[in-house]
Amino acid sequence: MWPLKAPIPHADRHADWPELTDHNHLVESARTRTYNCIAWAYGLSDRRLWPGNPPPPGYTWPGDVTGADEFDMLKSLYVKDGYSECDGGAREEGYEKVAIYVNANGPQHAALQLESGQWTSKLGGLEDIHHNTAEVLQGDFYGYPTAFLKRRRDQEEARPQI
Amino acid sequence: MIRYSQMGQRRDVEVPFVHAHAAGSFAWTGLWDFPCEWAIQGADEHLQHFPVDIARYHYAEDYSAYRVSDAFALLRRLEAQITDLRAELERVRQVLVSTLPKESASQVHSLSTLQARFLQLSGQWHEDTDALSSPSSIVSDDSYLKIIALGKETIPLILLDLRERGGDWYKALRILADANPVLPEHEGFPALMDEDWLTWGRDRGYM
Repeated sequence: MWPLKAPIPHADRHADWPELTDHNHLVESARTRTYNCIAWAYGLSDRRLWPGNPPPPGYTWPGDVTGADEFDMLKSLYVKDGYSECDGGAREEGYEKVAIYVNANGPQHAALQLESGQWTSKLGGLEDIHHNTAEVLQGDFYGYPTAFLKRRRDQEEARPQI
Repeated sequence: MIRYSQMGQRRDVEVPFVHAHAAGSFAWTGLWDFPCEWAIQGADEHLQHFPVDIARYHYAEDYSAYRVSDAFALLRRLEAQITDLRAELERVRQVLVSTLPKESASQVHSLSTLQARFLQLSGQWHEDTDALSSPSSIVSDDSYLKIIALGKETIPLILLDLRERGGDWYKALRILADANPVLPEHEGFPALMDEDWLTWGRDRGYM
């Protein structure tokens, strides 16, 4: 378990998170496997979401969110929730953003922008962290923030049930 | 191995998670992830800072250290206890094996080997994939595939790891057990899926 409100211990930092420093992130939760990054960026903390038809063993996915591949399906999930694609992760007043990370093996991670402009990420089966920019987690491990989507913060309540 | 002298008596002690730096200082790794040069460098200075309970250690490399005596003493006690426990476990195992027919004793030996291999592979798998989210990346990891290749005998070990540490064991279990006891409405909810698999394992005597 990592200490709360502290950077990830050096010994546990994955070598493929080269942008991670002591000063650009903090651990924000206890370790849990109850939810994953996609669910967390979607606002859910009781399940694990991963695209697929059917979804992979151990995951769930709304049957009406379809697409050509995992990346397409992930974007569709957020588009269906009121998001639209945008250019980057810079904070915009009144908007929240989602970043989808992709490497050579496909989508690996999603992060949600907080009102402060910081980002929140659930790291696989580990803890949540807050990080200063979406780029803090880029690298071979999670890939790079390849798609950014945004929606007005006042649309949050209109989220469809899944 | 740390070689030191205490009160004029030379001792050797196994301290696997303490290592020497070239500069003559030491750092804790493993259980303690913080530097402790304060305890090592500048003998006279630290003697002033910690005038009570100071034990002086002369390392074979002529480095000096102070106030690590408590840590070393604790380590020696823990190591002695671990050694005793290991020896006791081995004695119990030998007694149990000696009471079994020859064929069964051979199976016990195989199981012990299987357990050791599983522990090695599962530890590596957790280390490599616990921070990942992509299911395909998690279950295509080499260690995960090697565990599946070990066969159905690993089912009890996987169920135990699922209970103790959790993880995406569902695909391996589906393959090895040729079954899926997870209720459709439980898919995606790890606590419920775990319970479905553990119940399945208990019902079949795997646990």
